Amino acid sequence: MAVDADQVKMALRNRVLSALPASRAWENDTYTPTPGTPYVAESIEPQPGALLGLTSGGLVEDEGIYTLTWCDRARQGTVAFSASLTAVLALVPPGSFVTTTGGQVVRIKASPKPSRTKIVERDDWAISVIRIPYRVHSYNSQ
Amino acid sequence: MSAEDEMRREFVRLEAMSMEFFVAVAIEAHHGIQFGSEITGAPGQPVDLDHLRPSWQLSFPTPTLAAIDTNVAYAEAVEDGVGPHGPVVYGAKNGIGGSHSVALTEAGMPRIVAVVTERVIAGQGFTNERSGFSGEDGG
Repeated sequence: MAVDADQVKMALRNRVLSALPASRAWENDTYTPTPGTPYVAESIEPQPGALLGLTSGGLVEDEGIYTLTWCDRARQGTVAFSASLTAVLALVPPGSFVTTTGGQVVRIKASPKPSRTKIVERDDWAISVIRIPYRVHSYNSQ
Repeated sequence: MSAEDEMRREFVRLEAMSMEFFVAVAIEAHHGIQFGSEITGAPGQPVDLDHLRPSWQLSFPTPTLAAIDTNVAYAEAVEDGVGPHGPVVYGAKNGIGGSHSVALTEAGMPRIVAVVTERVIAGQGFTNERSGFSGEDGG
């Protein structure tokens, strides 16, 4: 069964949704940031998969990184923002999994595990990127 | 040649192979960060004035440590996909490169190791066409 990156994205999005700010710039969607209103932008970076087993019915491994770019208000300190980022990461511990609508299990990788970058100030925004590496195993339909 | 000499010779040969394997993996990772990789999905560095891409350097500070780094100040922003006013899609202008190449390379390291291993098993030695690097056996 082929892995649908969009289904993976939706499953991971739903897992972290409760910890995200109310304003969200979903991938390939129209969004105009409002100064002073924190928002998050997402993207998914699928990596080339690999057939690890026999051609017929062999194990297929697909990996990638789900990224969330969190733009918070600048010059507000880091305590609250950092806690928000930590709250997202707490929802995706290494080794945990989510299931897509297609029934595929998306495993959160342990190495590298989900992480966030340092907070950088850009214009009116304080920004940090959360990266959630994942792995999906399926079986070759050939 | 005594058995002890033969064993010593074999040990040295294995050690040399191990070193060549390590270098080949590092070269593959470096290439992926610079130019993109079909192994890891790294898009490589975006190119405008071609200042950032060649700035990524591979070095070996110790025999067991490979360092891939750059001294370009905005490299981190490109890696994270962040611009002066928020998220930016780098590489969109000319379709070359993008963000997250380092992260994708890190996440794809087991795959890089597997591919280099396959090259050796397939009798291609440590050859890396991209770099011109060639191992002891050569192919």
